[in-house]
Amino acid sequence: MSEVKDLKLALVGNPNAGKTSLFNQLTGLNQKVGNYPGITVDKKTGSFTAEQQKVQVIDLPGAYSLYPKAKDDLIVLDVLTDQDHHDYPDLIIFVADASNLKRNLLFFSQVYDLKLPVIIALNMLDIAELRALEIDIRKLSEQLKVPVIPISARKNKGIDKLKDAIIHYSNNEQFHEFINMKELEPDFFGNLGGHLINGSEYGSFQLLANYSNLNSKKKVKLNGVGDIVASNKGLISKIQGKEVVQRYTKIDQILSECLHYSDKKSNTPAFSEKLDKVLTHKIWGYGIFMLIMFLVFQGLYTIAAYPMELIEQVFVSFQEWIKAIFPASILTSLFADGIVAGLGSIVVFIPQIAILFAFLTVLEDSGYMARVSFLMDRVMRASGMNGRSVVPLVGSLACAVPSIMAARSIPNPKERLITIMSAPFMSCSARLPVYILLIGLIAPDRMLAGFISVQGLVLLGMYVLGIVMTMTISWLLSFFVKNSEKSSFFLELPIYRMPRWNNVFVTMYEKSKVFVLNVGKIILVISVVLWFLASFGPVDLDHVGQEYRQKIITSGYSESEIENLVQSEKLSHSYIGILGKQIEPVIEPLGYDWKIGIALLTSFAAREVFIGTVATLYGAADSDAENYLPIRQKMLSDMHPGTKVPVFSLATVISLLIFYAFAMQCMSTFAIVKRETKTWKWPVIQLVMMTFLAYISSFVVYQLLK
Amino acid sequence: MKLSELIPGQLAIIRSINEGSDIVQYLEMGLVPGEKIRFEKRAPLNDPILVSVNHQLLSLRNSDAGNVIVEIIEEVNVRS
Repeated sequence: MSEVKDLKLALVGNPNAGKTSLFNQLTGLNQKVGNYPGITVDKKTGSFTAEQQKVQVIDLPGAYSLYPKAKDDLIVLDVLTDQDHHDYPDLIIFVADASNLKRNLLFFSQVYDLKLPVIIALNMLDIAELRALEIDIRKLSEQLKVPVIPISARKNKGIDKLKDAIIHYSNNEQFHEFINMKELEPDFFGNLGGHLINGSEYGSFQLLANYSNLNSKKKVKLNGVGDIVASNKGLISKIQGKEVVQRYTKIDQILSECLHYSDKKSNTPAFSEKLDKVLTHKIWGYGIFMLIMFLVFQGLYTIAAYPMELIEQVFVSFQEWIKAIFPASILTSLFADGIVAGLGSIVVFIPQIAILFAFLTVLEDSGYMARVSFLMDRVMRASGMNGRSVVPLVGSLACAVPSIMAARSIPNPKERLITIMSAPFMSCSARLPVYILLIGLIAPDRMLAGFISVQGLVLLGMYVLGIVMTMTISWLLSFFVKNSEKSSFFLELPIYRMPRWNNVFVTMYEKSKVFVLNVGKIILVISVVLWFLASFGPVDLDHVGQEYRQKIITSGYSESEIENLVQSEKLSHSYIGILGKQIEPVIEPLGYDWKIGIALLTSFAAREVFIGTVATLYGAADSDAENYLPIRQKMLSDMHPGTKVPVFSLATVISLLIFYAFAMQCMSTFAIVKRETKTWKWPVIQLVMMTFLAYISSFVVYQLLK
Repeated sequence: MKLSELIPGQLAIIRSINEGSDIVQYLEMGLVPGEKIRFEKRAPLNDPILVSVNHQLLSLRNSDAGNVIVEIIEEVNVRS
């Protein structure tokens, strides 16, 4: 059998036209999510086979026209006008929403004029029917000069016919351009002369119109054109406008022959309208929105907790098993405490990521997310963010990591960046055990008015502080981050629909995979480094441990207490222990001593490590950390050497609370920000900014209160 | 008058889009001169607004809506 080349297919169309549904129907599980170099939009590719012909499918980002609104939209133009591009298609399937044909056909006509073969997949005919629209498909196909295949992507109808049309497409159809650019503006196009690309005049014009956004390689290909562009900016804009109007005129003509309103009374999806009355209502709209946000938060917090605990247990058991089986050695320790522990800290995020993205996909797919944008835009915009920023922010109350990944749904890069930079200020779940331990040291275990817990109030205060700081930081950042694109807000609110469940599962899987593979590497490296710093010191730690043991063996402690005290002694002689002592002069103005210094250092990887470190330092076992009482006693009775001054005074504790509220102590956040912004610059800026802010705030607070 | 000056329930027809704005953006979203447009509602803080064109719900900011010149063709229906 001869080697038949794979057929390259590209899916193009308006957002919400059902492109992704069709992509799923065509490719099933044979799809994957990848990356376009340099931009943040996901690259979705997949394949299917029909009649022994393999077809590679790429789902290009949805757009309303070839004119890019954002840098990420340029990819469509890039792919479709560059024959040498890896993804340059042999054939385009234009997915059109039959209930909105006029607007959909604008984009179609532009794509068609690029001289690529196109087949229209006419989707959502059921909705068109509800609107009493009757479409003469045969006539439409005649007028548009391309095959038009009716489908229902969601209901899996017409897909076979479409596949058939794809396999048997022929490139022999005479090309009749939709509109003639030369006729539109004869002088300008006359002068262009030999600067045609792919023999498509329209394609050439598009590249001219977007010249400033093209990458340098492309610009070289279009040599000499730069000057033409520079001297004709205003004219090119005008031509764009003229072109679009001209296209609509022709589309109107065509539709007047192919589209009719039937005699049935137009019955727009009343359900969707009714739902909107409530969901965008002044009062109910916000109420329901807060309820949904609360559910999202609960899901992340409570539901994720079960699998998370399970995962933790599995990894801890695995660690212990390794240490039981293999002889104690550096290698064993590296493997068990460094690598396995590191891996555990990565895998434990999967439940939260999966759940958050499941929620997000449902919200987005059902159409509700657009309503959220509508309701929250004004508020969010005041802080430089977008209506869509709300979900990442609420999600950050549980964990910033998946929430920052979710920020990808924000189209404007500046708003997306600001959301990513501000999200970690929300009080995440890792801060909670730290807050609880610290609050327990200074707030009385009392009730106000019989039912309001004082400690609870302080905790609430910390959460409010987080939210206030988030909004303040984003507001400040909005002055510093450049806005490289026009900020506009044209949002389509699609009709409400049942979410596609297979899409939900695919997303959950894909996002988790991305996290583990990308972020995992960074976390693993940091884990191993920390393990090393805590397990070794300039002197042999085992020796130190043994000596200390000899010293205290007669003091009447129990075996487990001795073990704990030995660990504490070892830790303070390790590299990280020494580092903690070294930084004491720096943190003294904040009210901290070297032990707190060590805890600060270890928790730079993850906040909750604070608890474990403090437990070790105060001679308690890790498991005691669960039950705060014993540690609390020890901490409260710890005095500065040679004095009666407590280490954990009110001022110190509050200063510490502030520090943990503002400092960036999460290597996973660091890693995910790097991944989402595709550069080390922003996570480093974030680290520096937050550390600086935490230091200054804690300093001020301590000095004022001491 | 400007689209941003309408009140909920009014049906109008789009006459033009202001010169200085990015006309293509409006056109590609379906805000085309000659199209009928209904003002649906305003977001609780007055901004953005919700309109429907060709049965398609669109949300846009007041400032952008100010660039769309319309002519009222039907007064307010009694709609909540």
